[in-house]
Amino acid sequence: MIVQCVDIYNIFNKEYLDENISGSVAKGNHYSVLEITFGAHGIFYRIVPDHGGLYAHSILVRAQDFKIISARFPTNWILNTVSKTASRLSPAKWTDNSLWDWSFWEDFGEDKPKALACFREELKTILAADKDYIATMITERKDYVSWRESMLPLLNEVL
Amino acid sequence: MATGKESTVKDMAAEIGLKTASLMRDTELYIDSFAARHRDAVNVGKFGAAVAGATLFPVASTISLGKYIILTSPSVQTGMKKVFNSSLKQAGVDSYSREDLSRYATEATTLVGSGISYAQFGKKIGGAARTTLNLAEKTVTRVKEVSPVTFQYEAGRLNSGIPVDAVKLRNPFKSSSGESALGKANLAQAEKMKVELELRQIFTKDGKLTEVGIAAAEPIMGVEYFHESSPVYKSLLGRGRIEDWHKCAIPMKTKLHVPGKEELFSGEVHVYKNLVTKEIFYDLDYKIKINKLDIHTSVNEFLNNISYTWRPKL
Repeated sequence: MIVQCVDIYNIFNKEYLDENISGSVAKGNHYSVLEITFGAHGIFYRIVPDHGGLYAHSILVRAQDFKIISARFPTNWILNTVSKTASRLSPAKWTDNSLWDWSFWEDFGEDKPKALACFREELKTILAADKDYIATMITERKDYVSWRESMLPLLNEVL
Repeated sequence: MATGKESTVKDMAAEIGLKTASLMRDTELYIDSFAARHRDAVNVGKFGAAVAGATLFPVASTISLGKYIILTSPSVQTGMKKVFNSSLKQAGVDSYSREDLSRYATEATTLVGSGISYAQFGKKIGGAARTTLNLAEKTVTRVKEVSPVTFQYEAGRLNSGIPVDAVKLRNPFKSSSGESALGKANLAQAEKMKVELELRQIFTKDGKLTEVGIAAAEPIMGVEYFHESSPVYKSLLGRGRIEDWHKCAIPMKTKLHVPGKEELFSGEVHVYKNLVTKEIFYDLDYKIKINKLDIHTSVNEFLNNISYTWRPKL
């Protein structure tokens, strides 16, 4: 699933901006959606930020600030309902707490090797769903050194 | 080409390194003095489960030292645990002071906290070391995209200068020379050299976040998706609605000063924030993760120039 950024919104200050403070997203850029969460605060896409690529943690961005370009769902996504107010479309392994010490994202946040390796593998499957947009994403990030350093080897594996 | 004996070599190397470090430390500091200070102790325990590394991350795992966490390898965990237990037995106590733990952390990570260090030690003990070295060199490239160093706060504790209470090492840093890290693993020397982080825009003097820092925070995980038994979930339950809490990241790019040089690094601060009340929760998992370090300084020099602040400057 590919989305394109149309607005920059600061969720804490609740204001629209011309540019993202941290450089994680930019208007016009295309992003591969890693998962979608539905909850009390709306719908969020998880994306790899421009500024750090895989060096940085993936971030959650508001769905309404992005336009859907490709609605192809990756083959590893499932619908997971967490509670009455929270669901997600996400790689199955990320939703299965029996695989993790705590939950996938908690283990990932603690840099547990199994979670880090799983993230990479599932990301490859996600990116493979929209191979035809990879060149566009690379071109848009020609000045993002960390993104290119960390993403290009992985994208190369996907292609 | 792998021989299948790498693990054994690494284990041996790790243990030798740790024993040496322990011996040096014991000689220099006298283990009896540890006992005298153990009023300020934290328990040694909670050794994290040693997860045999996936192919991609062959040397990374976790050791928890009370509240402090050092990322290192399963081999080091085993070695450290032995050294800790042995020293505790000698001292006749069941805990170490925080300072002692930091000493161990410094020594252990400097000595054997990386695949390269394993390889160097392995080389000295001969045999299949060459293979280990080759593997380690590959690892340098293969784990490049993950955090090499993480600074972490101790909950609720103020800091002076660099806001760190522990240093996590996970990457096999590449040493620029064959010089033993042992000679440089000297806390006194390290303390003389001050590392200054230009973090004033993000941190207040007491180590919390400035308004600028908070405004730059981006949600990375919803706590409602966490395991209900996890420490974070339990801590935040009852502090407003759980769905309002998110783990957030604040990207940062700054310079780390070592004498005569400046090293650029990028990283991010992790902190929990309530999206509705704007409350920041500093008491758990508040940390700086350095995502990328453009090392132009030799690794030993870099490590020895990190200074630790374990007590508040009153």
